[in-house]
Amino acid sequence: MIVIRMNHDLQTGDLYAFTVPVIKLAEQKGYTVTILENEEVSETNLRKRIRTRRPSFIFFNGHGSAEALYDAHLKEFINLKSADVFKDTITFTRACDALSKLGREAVKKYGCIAFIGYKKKFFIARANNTTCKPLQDPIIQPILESSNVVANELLKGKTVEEAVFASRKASADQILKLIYSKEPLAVASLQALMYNDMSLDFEGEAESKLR
Amino acid sequence: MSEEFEYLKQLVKERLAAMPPNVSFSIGDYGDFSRDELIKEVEKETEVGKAMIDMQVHFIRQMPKILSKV
Repeated sequence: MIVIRMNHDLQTGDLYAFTVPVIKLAEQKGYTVTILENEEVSETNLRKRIRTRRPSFIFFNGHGSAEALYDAHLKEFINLKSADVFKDTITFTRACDALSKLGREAVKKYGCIAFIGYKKKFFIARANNTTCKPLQDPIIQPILESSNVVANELLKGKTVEEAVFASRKASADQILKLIYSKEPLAVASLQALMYNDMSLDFEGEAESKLR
Repeated sequence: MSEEFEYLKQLVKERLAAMPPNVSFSIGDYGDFSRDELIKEVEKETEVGKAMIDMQVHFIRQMPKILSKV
């Protein structure tokens, strides 16, 4: 498994923090986890790691667009022309828009087994006074924990379709809790969660699993 | 701009104004925006403002469906 993550602004900092429990689970499940982070994130380094590690799972956390994923300097490091890096992998990109074109191209043109991601912008709501502890922030938690379910379920041996369904189920459970929450900012969390949930989907083989 | 869009803009601005002032939203690589900054972005119809309108409209459409199942 290769985890790609960055920590150069508030949003990537949140994503970074929420990769920690996923990495822990992966190690418990016996996966060798290779982390590519911050300044190390480049197409060259990713190709090197893929060549040596031959990962079945790539988990990207950072900024993206419909056609590209961005490095720590917000420069494209993977785009429609280099989407062959996803060949023979199940990939989950926690990034804006990447499923809509990059994911489709990776599967249809380059042999990615399945590409899970978001078709639209990825929203994170937060309380201004708790931004330094995202794992403890009750507004951020429901959003990113529901998203983490995708990776967690894949690591537990579920199919791509089951992992996405499990994330939707976790979102639905969180949505119900937020509706009845007395937390003043719960409505912001609810809005972000519902939007991200709508935007989550996959291209490729629904029945595929990590090997 | 259509009357419908103007109506949506106003609706979203009022919904944002009703939120606590210490809330903020991160929207992809656009960055992190406070409640009051988002109201301005919606008013100016920037890409951030349009993304916020899309998110709010989705919420308004979906909430009745969710509540009917509770």
